[in-house]
Amino acid sequence: MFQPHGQLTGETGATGHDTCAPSSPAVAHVLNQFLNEQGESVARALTTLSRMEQEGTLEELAGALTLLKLLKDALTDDMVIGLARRVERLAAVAADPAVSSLLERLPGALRAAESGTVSQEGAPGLTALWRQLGDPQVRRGLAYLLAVVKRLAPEAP
Amino acid sequence: MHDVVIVGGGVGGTVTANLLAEELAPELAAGRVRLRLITDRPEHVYKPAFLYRAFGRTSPAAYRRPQRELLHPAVQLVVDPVRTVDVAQRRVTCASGQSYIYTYLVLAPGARVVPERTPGLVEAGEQFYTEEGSARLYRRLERFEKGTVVVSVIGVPHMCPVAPLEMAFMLDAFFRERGRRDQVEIVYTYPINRVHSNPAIAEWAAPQLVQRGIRVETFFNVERIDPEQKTIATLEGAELAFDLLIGIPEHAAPAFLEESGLTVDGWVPTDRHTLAVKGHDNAYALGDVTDLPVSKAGSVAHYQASTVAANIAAHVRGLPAAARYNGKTFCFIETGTERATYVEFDYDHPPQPVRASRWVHWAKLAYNQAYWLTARGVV
Repeated sequence: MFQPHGQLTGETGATGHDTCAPSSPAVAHVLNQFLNEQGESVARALTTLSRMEQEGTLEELAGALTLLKLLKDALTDDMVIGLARRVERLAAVAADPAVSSLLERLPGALRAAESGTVSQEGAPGLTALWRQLGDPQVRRGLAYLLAVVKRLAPEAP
Repeated sequence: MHDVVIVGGGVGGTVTANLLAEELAPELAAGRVRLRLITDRPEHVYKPAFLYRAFGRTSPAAYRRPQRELLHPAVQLVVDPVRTVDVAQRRVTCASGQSYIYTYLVLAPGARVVPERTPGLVEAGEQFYTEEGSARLYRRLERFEKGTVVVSVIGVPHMCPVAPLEMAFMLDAFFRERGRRDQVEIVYTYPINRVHSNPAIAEWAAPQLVQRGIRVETFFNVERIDPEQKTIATLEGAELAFDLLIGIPEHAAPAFLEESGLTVDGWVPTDRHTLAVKGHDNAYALGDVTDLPVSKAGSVAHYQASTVAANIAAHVRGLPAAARYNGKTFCFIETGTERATYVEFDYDHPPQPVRASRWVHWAKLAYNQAYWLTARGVV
């Protein structure tokens, strides 16, 4: 178990380049004070770190973090701006009340169509189609689609 | 009316066209700009996939898409090989005889391999820089039981500068996975006194090759290949026997550029920052055809496309062409069949490969699928 009250004296090794020792007594004092106050927490953290190292999790974590660096290295300002612009456009479309309302209804409508007459019995005849026009819900749907179609095309020049 | 003609349907030409279509949307809608992309084939091919094709790890359906699908609807697609570019008349003429006058020209036709320039290479060597070549190499690798495989970099510069190293690393993994590695000697040769033209990449790669037991021959400039004896003779007087030769052939710009007087020493003289063709402010070059001291890699063409598109958009709007390319390059490096690293560098900063990992390998595999977003100019 890690001993929180270490012997950080600020003295360097015989070579004068002991990288484990702090470079000045002031740093040693601050570290000693910190370990006195937070020693148990540091000990727990280091124990966790040690376990992660032994299990190979630390290695994988470092590998996964490489992906962040990769992303930063691969992107440019132009690419980030372009991507953000597209995300903004997508978000604006998705946040539109008409779109979110449609998206809520769409899965149910598609499921009904997939399991309905067309899927099970093939194409209906003209008479069957004509009969369906008697259904007010079908007429509302058609009117909805026609209203969308009318506004889909770009303005004529 | 501003006519922008883009020659080339690879990553550079396609991304430039799509970025311009988006940036100049108001001018296109008002009929003040016309965008044309001229290419010699109706399909767009993701060339880095050829390395994987050589090991049977991808198929044509994964690396081909109709060019039309990748282009913004406002871009007119012309499938007709270019025959001449007349910069005095500002005119591009195609094989069909059809000509296109341009206000601004973008040259992004890519490079081609010319194995015929090395005596014996066509007859005796395999390569993975074309679709047919990589498919044929796969068939040979599958049957290769024992002997010497030589990966020889013959032509420099060549497309995807790290691909020969990747090939050597992947060969090592390929034969290990099949339990044949002890029967196969792998030799990697390079023309100068290190294993890669970039010193930092060479420093990283040399011990990687040693670790895998791959023999290295440097100062190895191939003069000719004897298909009968299966030997390579070098300018330095060495001779190397092989059972399977994977040669990286010489590369060249498309013939029409040379015939149009647009090349010097084989490549298009290009300003390293503005990417304008030297002496022609209304013409730009990007990707493999430039004479710039950067990699002939897809990422380079991709980064350059945003500079070219920004500068042409500025011209159209009567503004100064202020965008500058800084030499940015990004390359994944497969270090086998399960791990990869990458390098990123520019004119002022050398590459520093990160530690190879499966995470980066997965990132590369993911990018191979996501490439189509890049071509569309999404990212």
